[in-house]
Amino acid sequence: MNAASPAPESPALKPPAIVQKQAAPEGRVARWRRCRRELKLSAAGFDLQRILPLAGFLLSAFGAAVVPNATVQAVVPWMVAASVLLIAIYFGHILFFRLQCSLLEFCVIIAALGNLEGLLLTTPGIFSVGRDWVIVLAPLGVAWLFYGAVIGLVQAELCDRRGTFARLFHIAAGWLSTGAPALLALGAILWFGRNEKRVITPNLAVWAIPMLVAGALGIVLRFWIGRAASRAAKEISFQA
Amino acid sequence: MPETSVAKPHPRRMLAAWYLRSLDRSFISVFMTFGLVLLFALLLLRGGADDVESNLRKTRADVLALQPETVDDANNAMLDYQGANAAIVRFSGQWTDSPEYFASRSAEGYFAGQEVKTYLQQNAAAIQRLLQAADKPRCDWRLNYAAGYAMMLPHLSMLRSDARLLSVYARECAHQRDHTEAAHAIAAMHAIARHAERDPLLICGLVSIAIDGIADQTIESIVLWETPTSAADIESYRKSAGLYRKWHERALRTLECEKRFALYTLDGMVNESQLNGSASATAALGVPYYVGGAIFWYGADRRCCLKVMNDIIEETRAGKRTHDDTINARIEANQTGPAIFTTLLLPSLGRSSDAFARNQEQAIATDAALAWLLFRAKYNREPKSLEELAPEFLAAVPHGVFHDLPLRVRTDTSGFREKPPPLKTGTAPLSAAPLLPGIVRIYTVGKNGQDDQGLCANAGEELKPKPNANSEIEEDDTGFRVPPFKEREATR
Repeated sequence: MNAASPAPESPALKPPAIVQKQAAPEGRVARWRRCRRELKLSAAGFDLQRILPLAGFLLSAFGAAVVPNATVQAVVPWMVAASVLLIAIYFGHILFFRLQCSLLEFCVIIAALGNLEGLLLTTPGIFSVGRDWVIVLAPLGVAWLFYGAVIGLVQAELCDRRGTFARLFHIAAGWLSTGAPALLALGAILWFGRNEKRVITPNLAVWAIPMLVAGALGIVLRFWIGRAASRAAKEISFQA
Repeated sequence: MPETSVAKPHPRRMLAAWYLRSLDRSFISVFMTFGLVLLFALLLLRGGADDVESNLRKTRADVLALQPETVDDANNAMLDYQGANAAIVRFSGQWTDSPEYFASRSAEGYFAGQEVKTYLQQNAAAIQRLLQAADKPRCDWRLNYAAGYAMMLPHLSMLRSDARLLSVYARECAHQRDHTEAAHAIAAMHAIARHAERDPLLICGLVSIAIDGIADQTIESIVLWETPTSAADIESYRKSAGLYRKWHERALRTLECEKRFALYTLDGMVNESQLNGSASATAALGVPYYVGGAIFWYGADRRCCLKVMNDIIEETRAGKRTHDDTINARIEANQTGPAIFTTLLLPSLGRSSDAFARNQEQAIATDAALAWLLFRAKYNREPKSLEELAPEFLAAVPHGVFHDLPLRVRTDTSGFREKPPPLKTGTAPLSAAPLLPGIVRIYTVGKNGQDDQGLCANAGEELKPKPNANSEIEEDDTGFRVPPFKEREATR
């Protein structure tokens, strides 16, 4: 792994169209459309559209789940698991082949991954949820950690934060911000349902506050860092 | 895509372009949020370390072991019941005009009418077949136990209808002063009740209680309106009723069965193997195993259900009745996680022993009342108390089941009013005036433990409004009404 360093821009990859069009005046809508097209071309290698057919794949899986046919329903968990695995591979590829994280960052990511998967696979509940849920949830943890790390490292890069701890902070912030909606949703369920003791026992309800706080922190980070990163990205992309 | 194998940093411009296209990532974010909720929930709940597959195999074997032994066709009463039901001619009018409705009511002149006679003539063959079926000791309903709670039980409603038909027949026989045949019909009703509860399921036990209740009501209405006077007739009714209804034996048998069925259902609900065609309760119901996310709290729910059920069973085995208001506290005490299934199932199951206890109390009260009539028949006078019946007609003064208090006797000078049928246009309630003033009520204090003067809110009587309108405790005495004593003329 290379140490974190500023990435020099490749003149060969700079879209010439932007330069050519600068001379001629154009309308705001036309400019916005052109820039979107340019952005799409610029993002070669990162193109998320490659995995967007996942949407159709997953929708088919959810559709199959309600079909009253045992054979069709048996395929559902494998379809969902394949989707999750594809997302994990996509972000793993970006993380390790495109973003070039440092050895320390790699160690932190692997440590977090090992802890999460270890926690998941040694939870007593894993024996009761059955194979189908394990094949979905285990890669989901991987996908989440890779997704969060990618978001964090991209934000660090765009905001020009190249210090070791700054990049680690962005990775952690990425995990927290991508997991924030789930933390908030679960925290809210625990909080509002805490009086239904048959469903949410008191020892379960105590997790409501930590989850809500973590979720709120994630949302704050999401907007705070996200806003700065967006601004930086726009400056880089749309500079004349 | 040659770039993928090249280990070089990406230009910031590309990162910026990718980052700004956040809409593309929103689908992944939504999907991941759902997944993470489940992931975090699993980590929080932790579930149980139970092996679902082996649990299901064990509970399935336990449930199948409950299946009663098969009976060959020649000795199987089921075929007679089916034959009888195929021959039954149903009453075509309203329920409140039917002979079955009037079988347990005052019905002045109704049983002398031609309509009842025609109805019974049309059903003569079916009634004889029912009496034959009830005489057979063995009955195999050939139920599919592997289906669990989704098991089909079409015979239960059929048996209740059969009991109602026999109730009409008994009442008509009593009206014709053929008390021996009426007692035979009542004995057949109790035999049908025993056949209904041959399978140890709670629902079968409850239907059996209902059929016993129809038989008890029939005896009471015969005693009230076609009162037998000879000791032989009364004795035949007494033999037909019997005192076989031991509440804790029936409750224990039912609870053991329900425990196995409950666990089987819970195991089937979370087991994916049912998708491969193995029969299970929820598969038969068409519920996919992953519905409701029950798998996440399966372990805690199962352990709680098992523990509370075992407690109730042990208590019943010791002859104690489980108080239904303690069940929720027991669930909370044994709860280590969500207990959704347990909470849905157990409170109603815990109350089942109440139903069996009340059924036994009714049998005790019926027997004591018939002993009272025997005393009248023999000595031509009213006994002073139940103590006077012992030891000639009763071994001792019987006690109630709920509170182990002796039965009470009260002479009700105001009589009683029957609950009127639902009003039809242009018709008035049936019982405008009180019936049988001077009636003797022989009763237990019921579950609430207070003496409600032999009245029960759920019986066929219309009760006066309570002085304390805010009182939530309903009258729940279990009793038997004996008509006022009429002195016989001395034989010369």
